[in-house]
Order: sequence, then structure tokens, then C-alpha cells
Amino acid sequence: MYDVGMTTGDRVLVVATQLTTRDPSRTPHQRAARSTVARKVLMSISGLIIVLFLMMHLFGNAKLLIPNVGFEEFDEYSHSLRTFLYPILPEKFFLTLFRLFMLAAAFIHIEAAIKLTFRNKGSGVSGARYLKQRYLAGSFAARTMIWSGIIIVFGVIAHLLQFTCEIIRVSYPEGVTTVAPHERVVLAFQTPVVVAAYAVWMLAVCIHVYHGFYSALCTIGARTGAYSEKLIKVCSVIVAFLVFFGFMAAPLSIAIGLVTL
Amino acid sequence: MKLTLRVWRQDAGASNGKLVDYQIDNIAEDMSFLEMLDQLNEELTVAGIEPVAFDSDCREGICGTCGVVINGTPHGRGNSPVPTTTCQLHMRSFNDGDTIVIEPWKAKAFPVIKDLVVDRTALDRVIASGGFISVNTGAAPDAHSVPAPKLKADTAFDNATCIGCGACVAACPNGSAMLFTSAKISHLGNLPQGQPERYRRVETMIGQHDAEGFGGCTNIGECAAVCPKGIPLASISQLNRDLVSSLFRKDGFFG
Repeated sequence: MYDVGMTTGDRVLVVATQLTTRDPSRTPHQRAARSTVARKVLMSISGLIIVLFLMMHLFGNAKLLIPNVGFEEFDEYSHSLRTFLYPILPEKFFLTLFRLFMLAAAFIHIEAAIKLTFRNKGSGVSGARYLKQRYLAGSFAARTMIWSGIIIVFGVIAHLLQFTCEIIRVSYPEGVTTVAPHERVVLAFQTPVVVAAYAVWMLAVCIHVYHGFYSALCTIGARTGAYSEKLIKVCSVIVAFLVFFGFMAAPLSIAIGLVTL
Repeated sequence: MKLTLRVWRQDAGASNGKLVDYQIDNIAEDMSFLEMLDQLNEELTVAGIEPVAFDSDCREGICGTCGVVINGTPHGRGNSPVPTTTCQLHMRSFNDGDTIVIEPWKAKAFPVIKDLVVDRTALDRVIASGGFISVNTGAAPDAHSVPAPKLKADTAFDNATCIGCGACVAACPNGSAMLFTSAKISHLGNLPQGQPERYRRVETMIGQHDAEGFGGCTNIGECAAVCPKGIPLASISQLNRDLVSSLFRKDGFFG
């Protein structure tokens, strides 16, 4: 409930002069359910789901690095994702369900990010707030979540177009539109530009996860004291490093010629 | 000690202000920051210039009235080795010849009244919306009649030390008052007397917090770094736990 608080000269101060608890349009319960905190909790849970997915993805990618049988293992793994639970459920049923689930998580996460960021930018005095702002605690990662997030979104779109839809085809033989999963990976990462682009993308993911994992656990209430805060920080560093080096392991091995077709 | 002060000057009712440079000399290192401003104001008055308006009251770091952003950190925490209020920051934290930038708290919910004075009544309304307990008044009950576990009583006390200065809002890149709100939630939520209204309280206070135009928390941690009373970030997690819990209770009532 906003009111014009003070009108002096050319300036109108807009402040909430009423207690919202006396505003009959919504109950306190409804207001709490629509609050920044409730939205943040949704954002944390969806974010943690995405981190779990990344860990699963990381594990699958590692199959490519198994000596001698890596390519067959990787192709088999890649194929089984499509036919998982097949004779029990219709073909691709689980895959479609899983994709919808991940899409929902991404949608909830991004929607909350956009709403909260716009709100937060308006709440401080954005831009040049203080003549020389001196930060004492916040990390670079924490202050740039929205930017690393935007890089990640574009990266995900390019990644799906390249490896799932095969619309972006890097170094495919002339006239060929589809190749085996392991060939998609190896052909792509023999091109240095693609490796560099993925390194930038993974750096963004690493930075995002470093603060995101910590922040998500704090938001759902895991930070109960100084010790648990340290523990959460250590875990987020481990997860962030795992993401960067885990996902860059295969591209780098291919780029330096350790893995070839 | 000779200093250059760059002070935010904003007329009452003006929509914007600007930084004005003042030279000041003969500052003793044992003076508090506010005493230094007092001396500046005396010199300005003698020179026929409007003195700089700033808030202060107890000047012993317990009332939460004073507070300016000094060199980009609320209460000048960046210049001080310990968490401090502006009145307890002493000039020994600065060097001869320094330039000190002095600005008011800046947040959407804290409109500037004049110069370094901002309107912090938004915080009062957050408290009024639920930061209390309802008890029948009368003779004080015996101290041992309501047992409170030691650990919880300590947490409640630590959070009760919040003086409501608003430094957390001024430091937060999102302009969020989450540390302030969570201090009251943790204070009352950890005591037996706070239980009947515990979940209703978190709902009404968060509703008011958001209505005032404060931003949301992104766990950056600037607030706790400048808090003169050392309110921990763990309080914010307690608020989050209580809010989530309240959403599964009919209208936030206990039980």
C-alpha cells in the first residue's frame, strides 16, 4: 500500500505509510506466499535440481575418457538416456518427462531471477550509488549472478542446438547431417574456437554455481551458525571446481590430442 | 590532523544533492567521527554557511540514531578494524591529509530528508507489523516461571542487540532489510514468549518489508560485514526457515 508521503517542491517521496497488515486485499499468508523470500526459496530448490542434473551429466561425460572402450560406452550411455525404462514405459516416455521436469526447473529459476533482479535494482539506488562503494564481504560471483546467468542461458541454447538437435554442425563431413554421439563431441572439440567458447561458458557456470550453491543452501535455511556457513562455503567451492574441471576434461583431452577418433 | 571532507549536501525537499569539499584542520585523533563533524559545523556556522545536518543521539554506540556512509562503507567500517557505529569511529582510523567521502544511507525505502539525514521510518513499520509479543501486563512474572534453553536465550539476546541503524540496508547492493527483519524474527522466535505469534509474525513482517520497497536477499553478506552489533547471516536463514514453515500452517498460526 503506497501513499504519497511528502510533497515538497519538485519532489514527491513515495513511501509506504500504512501497515500492509491492515490492507484487506490480501491476507498476511497470501502476502508471505508472494514475498521475495518465498520466490527465493523456489529459486533455490530449482537451482539445486539443476546442480544435481549437472552432476549426473558430468558422470555421463566421463565415460568418454575411459581408455579403449570410451566411445562405445559413451554412445551406449547416450542411447540409453533415450530408451531408459523402455519396455516398462513407452519409448522416450521417461526422456520426455525428464525434459519437461528440467524445463520447468529452468523456467521457475529464470522467472524468479528476472523478477527479483528487477526488484532489487530498484531497491537500492542503482548505478552510481556511493561515490566510491567499497565492498567488504561480497564476492565478485555474488554481485554478478544475473550476468553469469545470462551467459549460461545462451550457452545452453547453443549446446542443445549443437549436441542434441545437430543444427549447429562443427566439422561434420560434407553432406552428413547426423553422426554418432562420440563423433559429435570429438569433431567439435578438435576446433580450438569451440573449446574456447566452452571454456568461457563453463567459467560462467563455475562462477554462478560457486555463489548459487552457497546461496541456495542458505536460503532454504541450512546456514544455522558460523560452522555450517563455513561448511556450505567449502562445499560450494568443491562443486564449482568439479563443474569447471569435470566438464572441461573431455574437451581439453580432445583439443590436445589425447582422445582422437 | 588536516583533512579534506567531501560531504553530501542536499536541501530539504530537493530530489538530488551533490558532494561539496570542505577543508578541516586541527582534528585530534581521539575525536570521534561525529565530534569532527561538530567541529566542521561550528566552522561552517562562523563562516556563514549552512551546517551539515546529520543524525546522532547517544554517541556511545547503543541507540542506532547515527549513521553515514564513510568512504563507501556504512559507519566507516572499511576504516575500522572492528564493527562500529559512526559515533564510535574515531579519527585515529584516518591519516593526516586524507580525503573522506561522507554520504547518507542510500536506498529506495530511505528517502533523504536533508544532507546526511534519511527517513528510516520504514524500519519502524516493519517492526510495528509484527515485531512484538502480546502478553497481559501486570506484575512481572517470576524469572524462572518460563524456562528458556540457554542456547536459544543466547541466540535471542544476540539478535535483540540490533539497534535498527539501517547500515545493513545501506550496505546491501539490493537495498534489502533482511538482516534487520531477521534479527527481530530470531530474537522473538527463539524465546518461549515469542512462540504463539511466531509464524504469523514472520508473514506480516515479510509482507511489510516487501511493501516498503526493500529488495530481496541474495546472500552477498555485505550487511553482516558492516553491522555494528554483529548480527550474523544465520539469522536470515532462521527467517527463511520460519517463513517456509509458516506457508504450511493455516494463516501462519502456531500449532
